Amino acid sequence: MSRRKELDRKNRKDYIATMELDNSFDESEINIDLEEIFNFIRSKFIALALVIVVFVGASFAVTKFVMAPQYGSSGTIFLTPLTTESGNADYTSLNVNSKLVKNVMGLLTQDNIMLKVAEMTGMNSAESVRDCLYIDNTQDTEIITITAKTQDPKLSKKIVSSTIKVFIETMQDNLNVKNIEVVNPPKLSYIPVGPSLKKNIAIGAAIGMVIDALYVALAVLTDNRIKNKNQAEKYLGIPVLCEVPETIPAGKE
Amino acid sequence: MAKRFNFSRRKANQFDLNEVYRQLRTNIEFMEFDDKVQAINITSTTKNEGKTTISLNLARMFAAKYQGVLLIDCDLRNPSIHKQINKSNSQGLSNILSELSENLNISYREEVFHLQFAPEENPFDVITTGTKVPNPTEVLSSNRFRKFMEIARQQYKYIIIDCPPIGYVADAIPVSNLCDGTLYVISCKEKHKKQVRNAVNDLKRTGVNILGAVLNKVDISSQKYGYGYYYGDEK
Repeated sequence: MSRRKELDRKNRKDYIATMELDNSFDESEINIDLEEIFNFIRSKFIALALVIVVFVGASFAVTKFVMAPQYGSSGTIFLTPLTTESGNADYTSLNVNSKLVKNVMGLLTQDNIMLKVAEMTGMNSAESVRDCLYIDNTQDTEIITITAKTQDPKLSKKIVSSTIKVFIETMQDNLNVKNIEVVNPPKLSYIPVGPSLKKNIAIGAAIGMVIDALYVALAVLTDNRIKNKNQAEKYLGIPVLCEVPETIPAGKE
Repeated sequence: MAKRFNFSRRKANQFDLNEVYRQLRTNIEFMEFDDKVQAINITSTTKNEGKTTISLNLARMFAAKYQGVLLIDCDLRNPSIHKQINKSNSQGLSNILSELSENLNISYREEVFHLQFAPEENPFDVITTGTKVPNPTEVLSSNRFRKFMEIARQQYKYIIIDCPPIGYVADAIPVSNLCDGTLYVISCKEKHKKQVRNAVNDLKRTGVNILGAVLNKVDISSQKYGYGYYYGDEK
């Protein structure tokens, strides 16, 4: 090879070498290209959407056909303040009551009361009664709502009414507290309150999306193909002279 | 002897493969700078990346513009050019090399095929691998092959050589050293990013002049411009 040819070849190599300056691809780095992720999602859009649809459908089916409807019953009690002879509410007792509300809410679900309720309603244990009960308190008031949700509407009503009865009796007998009033006694309702279709569908969709996200992340990170010109030039440090699109080779139809 | 060949068919949409190969030819011509690129060899990392198709089409494209183009199949272990042009491989390069003499006129040898893609294009010569040899690497590194290349350079304007993949054997390296430039074919469907990089780095280290890469089997659906809809070619 002539000297001149060697020099020219060297110049050409310098041109390629300058491209290598960009080739700072460290093996320990993981490069995530957002455009790649977007293209991948676009190419697999139908499959990904199908996963979400399947999970939504499954949660719909489970909610509608597998899960048993739940029936609820609610009763409301009120901590009444003492009244003076003239009929006005006593300020001190009002203050005391507002501090008592949280205590009352805790006391309602204590074992002593729950056990008695369990006996009265025929449930297995105090724990099973507690699991169906929801105690709520309207903010800045002394109104406490006791709700029970079970699969039997009559049982729900019975649990609430028994809880309220046992509670009031216990407070009266043991603590001499007499200022608890039943505002709304629990009623029997045959309208199911659960399971919540919307909530379950949302959960199903969320699970589907998480699975999709995991799949997309894995597929993009483990993709070992060189897909386009920019990627090739950056990764290899040599210029790409042309891109030949995919075709069906003759004879291989 | 002229024969029409349809090397590949379209998958979808309107694009013209001819334009792609024409662009490749133009880019190679552009890379000549002061020194002419007369002999080009084509290799890749693994099998089935499209080297043979690309070398055939590139030879055809050069022949469309120039007279005196030679295409040689140097993949002595796995010859494929004769399959694509539907010819016999009983005689070819190995036979020519075994009978090499100073006054060899390549074009007149009976082992050489003359192809013409279209009547308006020039014909070009094709040499298949020929009789199978037990020592391909030695044949390609031999002085005979070097002499053959010298003779070919005098008799042809452009020489295109289809080489075996360097990921498997080192046959392409001695051939690259006899050529003015190497084209590296990369299939976008193969999952071999790291192997490609290692192979390209190995090639660079041997002092070979890499002209550039050719990306094959590119997915055009994700590109907005380019080959999805070809300008001026609405049919």
